[in-house]
Amino acid sequence: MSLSCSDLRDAFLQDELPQGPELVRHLDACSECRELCGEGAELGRGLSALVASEQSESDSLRLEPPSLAGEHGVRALLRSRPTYARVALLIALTALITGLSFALNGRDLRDAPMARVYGVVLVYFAGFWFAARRGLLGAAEPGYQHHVRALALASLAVPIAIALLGGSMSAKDGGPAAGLGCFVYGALLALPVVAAFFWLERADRPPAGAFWLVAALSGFTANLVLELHCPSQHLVHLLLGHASVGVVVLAAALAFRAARGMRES
Amino acid sequence: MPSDEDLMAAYVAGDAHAFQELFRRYSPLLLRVLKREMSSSEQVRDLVQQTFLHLHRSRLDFELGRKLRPWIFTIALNLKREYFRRGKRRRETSLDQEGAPEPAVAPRGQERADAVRELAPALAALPEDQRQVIELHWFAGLSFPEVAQTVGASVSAVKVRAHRGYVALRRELGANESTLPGNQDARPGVRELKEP
Repeated sequence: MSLSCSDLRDAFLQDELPQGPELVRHLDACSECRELCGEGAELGRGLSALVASEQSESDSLRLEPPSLAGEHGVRALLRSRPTYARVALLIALTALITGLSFALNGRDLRDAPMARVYGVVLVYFAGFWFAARRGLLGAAEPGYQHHVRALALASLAVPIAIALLGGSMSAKDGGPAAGLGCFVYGALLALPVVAAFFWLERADRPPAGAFWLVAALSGFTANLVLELHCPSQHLVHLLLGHASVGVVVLAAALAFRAARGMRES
Repeated sequence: MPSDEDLMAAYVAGDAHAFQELFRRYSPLLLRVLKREMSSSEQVRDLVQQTFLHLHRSRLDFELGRKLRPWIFTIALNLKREYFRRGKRRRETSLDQEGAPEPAVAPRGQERADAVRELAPALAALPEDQRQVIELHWFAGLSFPEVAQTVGASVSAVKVRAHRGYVALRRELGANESTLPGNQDARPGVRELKEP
């Protein structure tokens, strides 16, 4: 039977070190365990003594399981759903908002370049799915907060890039004057997504990355809605009235988080 | 005795006693790993409780057939990282370093007590990725493949981190000899272990 690193560790912990060819074979192949066994096995013995000392200390701390009494109600039910279901709920909400907005207040698409419209809507939905999945992964996933800021910034840049690629400065495309109206309309319709995200988030105190990703999600929602609402292709209008929604939500979310942190400290 | 995975499956199916049993099994292990760098035992207790609360909320994400141990430690370490990130808290001297700890196992002798005194601060001073791997392997009892799952890295990457950490710890313990793999002189302890 071959010896593993865990077997050797357990042997150190029980002060019953294995001997013979198995040990030699393992140490020949394992540079980690060679370090433990070098110099009279000083490190292996030291670590096992440290574990033993901390074991008794930890055992003396009495702990009670957390109360699950508060884990009832709609929010508890929603945030205990599997991650794929929570992501699907968030996507369904965005689709509902976009669909209702288009049905009630949509632009006339008869003369619109449909390939572009479909392409942009597809990009926004794909971006939304990606950001929602990262945002709702939760602490059970290794590195769930890695690179979320970079991802959020990239997401916020998508509407800006689309505006820069497709926008014009022609007066016939509508000017920046109506930008504020579009901004307010998009931001208001993105608010339910912000609220739903925090309802679906499992942590009582959402991690910093959640505030960045929720801004990305609101940006995608607002731009989806506005793509099907506003026919303007004026660059300044697209940047100030459409693409800015996510950026402003990010600023507001970070300000809220900073204020909460200051209040608590 | 049911395995941890059986208990988790029972808990997902609605057995509340399984949750209590999982808490009984895992809370001492979590305490041991989480208490490092924390300034008070109250914070450690809170993190352990948060870990189980998160386990409860994430229970439907647990895939049957998966190992529970790496999963639960992933939650715990992520929550600990978030705790430090929030408010940019400084990592503190480990609770067990407050006033040079004595090993609890007296028969191991003065030599061991010295090793503990030297090792605890040396371990705390290691880079986070190396320290985390050694702590999970030694204090939480995870195998290297389980450590790899916990931290989201490959087994070989985890072993490299452990190796670097061990080398640094040995240096702290006064072992000045180079212990590069393949160096036969680097294994005097093997001979001693074979011939007690």
